[in-house]
Amino acid sequence: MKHWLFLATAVACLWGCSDEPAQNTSTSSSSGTGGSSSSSGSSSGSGGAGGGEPTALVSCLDEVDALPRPPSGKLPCEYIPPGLALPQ
Amino acid sequence: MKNKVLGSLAMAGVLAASASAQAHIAAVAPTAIAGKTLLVELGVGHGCEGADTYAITVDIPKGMTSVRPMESDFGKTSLTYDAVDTALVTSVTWQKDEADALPKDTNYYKIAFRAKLPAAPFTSIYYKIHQVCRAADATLSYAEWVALPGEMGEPAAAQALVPDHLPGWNKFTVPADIPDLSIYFKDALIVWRGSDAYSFNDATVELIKGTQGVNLLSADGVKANDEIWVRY
Ligand SMILES: [Cu+2]
Repeated sequence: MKHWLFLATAVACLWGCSDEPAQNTSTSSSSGTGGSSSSSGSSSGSGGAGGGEPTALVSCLDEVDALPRPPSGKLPCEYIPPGLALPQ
Repeated sequence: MKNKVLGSLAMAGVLAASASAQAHIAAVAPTAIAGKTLLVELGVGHGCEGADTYAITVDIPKGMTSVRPMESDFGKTSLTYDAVDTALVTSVTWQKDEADALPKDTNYYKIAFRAKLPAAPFTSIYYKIHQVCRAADATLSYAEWVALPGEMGEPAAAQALVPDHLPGWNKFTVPADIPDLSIYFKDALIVWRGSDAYSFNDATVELIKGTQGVNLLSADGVKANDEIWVRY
């Protein structure tokens, strides 16, 4: 369910609808790095073996709750029907 | 509660005898897809004045074809057919063996049949149902669930027919005025007519109100020949 939400948001944002989630991807991957270095224990072992670079996939899954989602005050772009242009 | 209201009526005695004041029978799913062959399930909420339900007859609505009932807790089924079109099922009866009748009204029952529904989206179909109950002393009582909207009596079971749809965006041209969008689109994420949007979900309504350039579409705001986008 959350995976689906993330994918829908990501696709919508590839189409240039919203400004936040692209930032969010980088935020989550950098915080993922921080997470693996600070925890320095069990889960960072595999990342450390690969040179300390966590994969984007792991970071996104870890940070999925940080993605913007309703209620954000206005309709998310995946709720806007095809062909309807709204004032930005 | 209904009993209290009815009890104040002069005809309370007559109504009590008919035992109709207590039973509720309804479609398990409030909506069904127009024109599709699918399973219709009806739930029998309870019997009559403490007596167990003994038999149920469902009148098949006009326009519904290919009816094939399933057996149930009541056991075997019996069918009646149209006088002219002798293959067309007009009613189905589920009836228990007397030995299976319960001493009290304790159980919920579900009856089901597969059928092809009328290809009439944005209308409702009504199942008129005749209930027979059997008390421990073998006394039979009857309840008639046949009233259509606006008619007196216990209501027939209803299902709203929705157009066939897929997850994601669906575009419909509405054949007739829709008096209440919530009947047909309770499970949709959002409904659009032009730049007006409707949702049954209060949280989504707040988002609609907070979005520039979008107006809230009222539940009775869609008229015949309107084009709407619906996201499920
Ligand atoms: Cu009832």
